[in-house]
Amino acid sequence: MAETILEMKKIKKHFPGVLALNEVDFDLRKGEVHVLIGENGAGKSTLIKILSGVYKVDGGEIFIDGKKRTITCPNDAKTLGIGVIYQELSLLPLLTVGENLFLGQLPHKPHTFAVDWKRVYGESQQFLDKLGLPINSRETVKGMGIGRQQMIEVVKVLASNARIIIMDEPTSSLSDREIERLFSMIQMLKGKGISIIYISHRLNELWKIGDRVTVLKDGCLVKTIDDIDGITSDELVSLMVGRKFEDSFARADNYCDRNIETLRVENLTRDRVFENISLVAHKGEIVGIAGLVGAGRTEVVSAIFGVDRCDGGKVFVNGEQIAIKSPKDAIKYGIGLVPEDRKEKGLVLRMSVKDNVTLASLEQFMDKLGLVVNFVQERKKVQSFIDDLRIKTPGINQVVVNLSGGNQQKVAIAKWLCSHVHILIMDEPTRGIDVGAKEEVYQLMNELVKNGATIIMISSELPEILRMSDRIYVLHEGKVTGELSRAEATEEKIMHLAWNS
Amino acid sequence: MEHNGKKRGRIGIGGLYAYFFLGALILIMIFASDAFLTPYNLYNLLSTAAIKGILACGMTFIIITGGIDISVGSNLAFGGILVAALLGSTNATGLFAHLGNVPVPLAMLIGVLACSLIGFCNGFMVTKLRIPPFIATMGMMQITRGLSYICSGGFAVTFKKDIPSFQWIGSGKIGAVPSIAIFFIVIAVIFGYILKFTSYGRFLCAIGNNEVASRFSGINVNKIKMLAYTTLGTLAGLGGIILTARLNSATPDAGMGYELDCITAVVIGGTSLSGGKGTIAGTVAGIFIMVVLATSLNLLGVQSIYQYLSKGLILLIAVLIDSYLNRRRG
Repeated sequence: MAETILEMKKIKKHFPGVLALNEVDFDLRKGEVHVLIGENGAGKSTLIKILSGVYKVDGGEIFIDGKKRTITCPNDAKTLGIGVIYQELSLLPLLTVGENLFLGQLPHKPHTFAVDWKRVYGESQQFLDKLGLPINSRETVKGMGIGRQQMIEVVKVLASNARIIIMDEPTSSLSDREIERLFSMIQMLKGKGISIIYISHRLNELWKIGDRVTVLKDGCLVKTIDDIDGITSDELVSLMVGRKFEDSFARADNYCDRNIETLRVENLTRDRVFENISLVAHKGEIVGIAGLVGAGRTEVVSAIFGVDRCDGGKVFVNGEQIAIKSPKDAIKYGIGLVPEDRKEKGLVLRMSVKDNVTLASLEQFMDKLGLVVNFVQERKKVQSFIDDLRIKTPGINQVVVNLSGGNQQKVAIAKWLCSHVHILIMDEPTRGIDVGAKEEVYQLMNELVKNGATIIMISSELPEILRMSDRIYVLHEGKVTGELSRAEATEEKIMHLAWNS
Repeated sequence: MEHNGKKRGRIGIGGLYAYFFLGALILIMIFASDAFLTPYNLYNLLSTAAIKGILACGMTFIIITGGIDISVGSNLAFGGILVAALLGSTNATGLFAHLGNVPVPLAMLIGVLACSLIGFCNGFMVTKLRIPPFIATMGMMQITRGLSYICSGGFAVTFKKDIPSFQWIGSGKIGAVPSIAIFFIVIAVIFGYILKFTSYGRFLCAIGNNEVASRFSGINVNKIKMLAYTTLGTLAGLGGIILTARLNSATPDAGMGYELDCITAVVIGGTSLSGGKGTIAGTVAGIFIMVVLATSLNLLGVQSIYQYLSKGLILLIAVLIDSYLNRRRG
């Protein structure tokens, strides 16, 4: 067995009112990928933030190479050879790869203040070549795909002599091909004796690259599993949520009324982004839009919702052709969009649950003059959504930023329920939310279509697409490559269309 | 939860600090100087606070959206000169020389509309032309200041004859209260009400917090912002009228530095410079802190040149408190 290079013992961390970590043990061996899983709020991020010096530990001990160490700031972690790759990339887009790699420690020519650029680019290139990455050190980062940027991020961490690399959901915004590349890079790093702590929301990745897995729940260690081939995903899910999921991939009924067409899009085109997109949706139908990241799915729905302009095509709502120039128009015609990027586009994080829920429909709470908000009515309505959607919040005045991802998503959905839209576009509706909240979102979608709404759902998770959709459109590089009914859809068929192979 | 909106109170933490500070300042002054509590001093204090206070109400809205308007002082000067010229003056030049004998209400209306138009231009530049607010309004500041000098020939514009109804605006009284204090109170109440109880107020905060999410929620962001800049223009016009009525003349260098005093007051009052939250009650406290402090220093015999120091220090302290609170909120 390989030697243990990191050991965390009985780690404790308090936040006001919460015990975020309760005596958690964790260890990492040389050259292994140790996967950390758990629902949101289970303590994964807290654990790695303690290791990387972002949070101070309240109790417990950390040993590196058998020596007891204290980590009080990110610099301590760096000196000890711990590097972190966060979900949000930290590269400076306008600088070159070399500049990014040497950022903060640009070498000077001897006895001058001038930067030794030859050395910067020479050494960066050497480093990139040694890792076998086809990247030019003089290229600017802007314009590179997220996948390549992430690799540079890894290189940057390696350049500071990291032996332990923490990856926080590294694949969440990568396409499948980019994920493959990242995985082969991880294999190579393992070969060089580098250890990796890997946080993921995607269970299937576990068996592809993991050596061991640790499950956290509510700040406690549930189990560290050494033999990952001996465990199934169902078992892991039940460890994470503490209950068994029964038949988690069934959708009860079909509420689709094929005779009533609610949304029709004809030949929608935006130059160089997507072209001739045509799709229809019916009352009570969930229409799935599948495709690889970058296939133009988000761009298409943004155009329908009036966020982006388009260069051609027609949109019909309830059989009537309409012109949508802004989200305001779209809402007027009963279309709502729950965006993929919840925190940037879906919610005003620093405002309360109440303010967010009514933000798109404040006019319905106005007095006769249409000026003053009727707070009593507003509160009542918001409270009813909190109850119906089971939004976990201390009160309607709670600031949304303090809610968990799942509850934030429910608030984002409640906003559209409150403004009575009948066509709801959901872009990655369950991204970044925990398993329990996912189920609740699915149930909510079912209820919506049962009540006659139309849902257009973009999702990168095939099981989700297959489970929820009545009909599926598949996009590839800005074009619709296929339409599948619920009966004919399989993962293989969708992937073929998505790769256009 | 510690961040619960309800517990933070009606005027926010920053605004609350401002009232404590103002209270302490007044208490100290009551003991330190016999002249402080005299009717004369209080009258002066209210009058001085009123004009800047009126502007600061509009400035609060703009800062809540994450913007800023530094043209407000010179906008006020231009409004004053325009109205004075319309009412008939001794030495307006150029186009303005031929104005005069316009009825008071019409003159005031034209002056206010002109300033609103300037405010609208600011809003247009910020939203449609996407010029950063600081730069757009800096340009406008120079333009309107220049216009004021050109139209007045560089001198104070004085009236040919007394116009009592106009002069009442600046120096009249209702009971013991100066008329301009009443204007200030009315405007502060209206603006406070708009901010707290109307959808417009809610949208201002939403835009300041997250412009993209606001747009995704169907809010017409540009319209709301343009209205905020136009409104401050309108208030600058009103301020120009009041100042002209009070001094019985309009000068092209009126309102110099008012923009800084307004911004300082707004920030002292707990409105975040990064936008998203703020209150009129806080801004009112902020204005009074500035004015009481200046008056106090006068009463205590500190030379006025030192007042710049005190203003600057207070602004920096307020900003420090703001950023500290922001950081604590995470």
